[in-house]
Amino acid sequence: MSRGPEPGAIAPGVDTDGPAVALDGQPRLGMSGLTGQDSWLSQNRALLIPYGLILILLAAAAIRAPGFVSGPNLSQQLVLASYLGIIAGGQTLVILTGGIDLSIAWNLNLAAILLTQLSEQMPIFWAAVIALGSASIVGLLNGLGIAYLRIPSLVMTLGMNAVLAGVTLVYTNGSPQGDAPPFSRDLAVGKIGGVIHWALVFWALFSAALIFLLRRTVYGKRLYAIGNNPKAGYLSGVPVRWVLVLTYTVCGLCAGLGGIKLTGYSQQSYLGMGDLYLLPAIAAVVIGGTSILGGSGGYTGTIAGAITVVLLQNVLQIVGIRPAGQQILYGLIILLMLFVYGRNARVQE
Amino acid sequence: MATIRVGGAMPPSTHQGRTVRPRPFVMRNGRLLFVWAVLIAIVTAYVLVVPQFRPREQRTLLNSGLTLATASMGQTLVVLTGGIDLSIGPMVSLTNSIASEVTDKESPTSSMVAAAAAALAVGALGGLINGVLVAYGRLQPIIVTLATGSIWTGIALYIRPSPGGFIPLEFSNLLSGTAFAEPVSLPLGLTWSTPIPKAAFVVAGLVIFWIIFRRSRLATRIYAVGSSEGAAYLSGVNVQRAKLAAYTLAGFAAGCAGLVNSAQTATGNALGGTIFTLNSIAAVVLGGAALAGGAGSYLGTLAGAYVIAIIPSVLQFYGVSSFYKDLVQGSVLLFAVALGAFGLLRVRNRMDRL
Repeated sequence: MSRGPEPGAIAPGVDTDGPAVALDGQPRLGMSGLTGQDSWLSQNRALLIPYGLILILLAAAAIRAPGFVSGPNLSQQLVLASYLGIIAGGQTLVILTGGIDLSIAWNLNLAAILLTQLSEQMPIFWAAVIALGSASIVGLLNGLGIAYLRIPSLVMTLGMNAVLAGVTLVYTNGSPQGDAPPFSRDLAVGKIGGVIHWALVFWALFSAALIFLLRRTVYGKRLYAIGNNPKAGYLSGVPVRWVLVLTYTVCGLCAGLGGIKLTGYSQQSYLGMGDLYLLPAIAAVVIGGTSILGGSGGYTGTIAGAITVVLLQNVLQIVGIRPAGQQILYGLIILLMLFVYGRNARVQE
Repeated sequence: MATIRVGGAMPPSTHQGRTVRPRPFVMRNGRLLFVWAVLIAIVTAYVLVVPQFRPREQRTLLNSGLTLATASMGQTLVVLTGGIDLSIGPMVSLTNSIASEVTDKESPTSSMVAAAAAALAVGALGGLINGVLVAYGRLQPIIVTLATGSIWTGIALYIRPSPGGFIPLEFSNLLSGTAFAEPVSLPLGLTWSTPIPKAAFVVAGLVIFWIIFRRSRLATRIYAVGSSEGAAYLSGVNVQRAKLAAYTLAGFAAGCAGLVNSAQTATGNALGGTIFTLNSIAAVVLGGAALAGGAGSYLGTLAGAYVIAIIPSVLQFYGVSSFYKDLVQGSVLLFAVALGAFGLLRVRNRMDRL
C-alpha cells in the first residue's frame, strides 16, 4: 500500500522552494501547498535542520576554541563555503531534475587548468571565456547524451569524467603550468576596500540569481515539473529534453566558475583538485534538503548545506576528531538527512 | 531472459495489440556479444604486442582484473535490482585494512584464516546494513551507499591510518600465483604439465557461482524486482527481502574483492579500493546491464571488468603514454552506452523515450 498520492503529484514544491514532503515523511495532502495556507515554518521545516546543524557546529567550536567564532574567521569559513556553494549550485539544478552530475570533478579541474595555462598566452578575459566555455560545452555534451541518447545521467557523467581526466592529463602532459591570474585571485580571496570579501559578494549575487531562476522563471517551474514526473511534464507541454540540456549546461558552467575560484584560492591549478569537491557538493545538496529523487528542494537549502559541510570539516578538526571520524560523521549526517526527508513510497511505480 | 535494453522500463502498453516475436539470438544478446568481442580484440592486441605470452604474462593478465571482476559481481547484483552500490570501493578498502591488521607474523596461516573470516563477515554485515537502509528504510540507494561508503572509509582509516600491515606470502600465492608450475602426475598415469594462473580458478568460481545463482529463485526475484517493482510486489515477491539479499551478497562480494586485493598488493591501504566503486559500475554498464534494473548478466560484467583492467597494459605495451588511459577507458564506456541508444529507434511511442 503506497502512502497516498505521490509526494509531487499535488504540491510539487513549485511555488515554495521547500520540500513537498513534510518532516514525518508524509506527503502534504490537500491544497495547502498550493494555496500557501501552510505557515512559513511548516513549509521550510527541512531548512531548519541544516541551519540548526550550523548552529550546533558553531557552538561546539566555540566551546573548544573560542577564537573560531570570531568575525574574521567566520567570514573565512563563509569564503570557503562559497566555492563549494557555487559548485553545488549546478549540482542542485541537476539533482532537482532527478539526475546527478559526477563529471563536475574533472570539469572544474580542466577549467582551472585552462585558465592558468592560457592566461600566460592571451588576455585574461579570453582565457576566462575559454575556461568557462569549455566547462559549459562539457555540460552541454552531458545534457545531449542524457536527454537525446537516454544514457542514464550517472553513466554519462561517469564516462565524461574519465574522458575529461584523460583530456586534462594529455593537455598538461601531467604537470599543469602557470599561476592563477590576479583576476581569479581577487575573485577568490580579494576584498573590496579591504573589508568585504569579493567571494561573498559574488556568492550572494550567484545565490540571488539561482533562487530567482528556480522560483520566478518558467525554466524553474519546468525544472521542478520534470523532477516530479517527466511524463506528466511532457504531457503538460514542457520541452523536457531542452530543459535537461540547459540544466546540465548550467551545471557545467557552475563547475567552471568553481574551478576559476579554486584556482585563485590555491594560487595555481593542479591535477585532482576537483575530486575533493565532488562528494562534498552532492552532500551539500542532500544536507540542504533537496530530494535526490528530484522535484523538491532548492538552493536556499544548498547554501546551508555548503556551509555545514565546510564547518563540519573544520570544526571537527578543532574539536579534535581525526579525519577518519569526520568521514564517519559525514556519512551519519547524510543518512540522518535522508531519514528526515528522502524516503520512497513503500512500493515504487 | 529479458531483452537487454538501456533506459527506463517500457510500459506494457507498448506490447499490447502486437504479436511479440522473440528477437534472434544475436539481437537479444547483442550487448553481451559486443563486450566479449571488445575483450577478445583487446586481449588479441595484448598477445600480439607482448614479446612472449608465457605463463607469467597469462598470470599478469588474469590478475590485473581479478579484484575488479570480484567486486563487480556485487555491483551486478545490486544494479539488477535497479539500485546502485557506491560503497563497494570503500568496503574493499575496509576489508583489506582489516585483513592486514588481523594477520600476525608469528602464526601466518591461522591468523590469515581468521583475517579472511573477519573480512568476509564485515563485508556481509556492511552489505546487510546497506540492504536494511535501502529496502526497509526506503532510502535512495545512490545516496545511502555514498554515506555508508564514507563511514566504511572512516572505519578503515581508524584501523589503518597509513598504508602497511602484513599479508602472508602464502596467501598472496594462493590467489594470485601459478598452479601446476611443476608437472603434476594425475591418476591413470597421466601428467598435467600446463601451468595455470590461480586467478583462472577464481574467475571460474565466479562464473560457476553465477550460473548456479542465475537458476535460483532469489535470482528470479531480483530480476523481477529490477524489471518492475510494482509488478513483482503484486506477484507476491517479497521485494524488501530480495533487495536485502542483493545488497548483502554485494557486500560479501566486496569482502571477497578486499581479500583478493590484499593478496595482490600484500599490504593494507585504507584508500586502496576507491577506484573499484566507479570501475565496477563501468564494468556492469559495459557488460550490458541496464542501470534501471532487471536486465543484464554477470557474464557480460566479467568481460567488462577485464576490458577496463587490460586497457592500461595494452596502451603501455603499444608505447602510448599512460595519460591516455582514462581517456580510452571513458571513451569505451561512453561508446558502449551510446550503442544502447539504438534501442530508442525501436520505441514507437514518444512518451516512452522520456
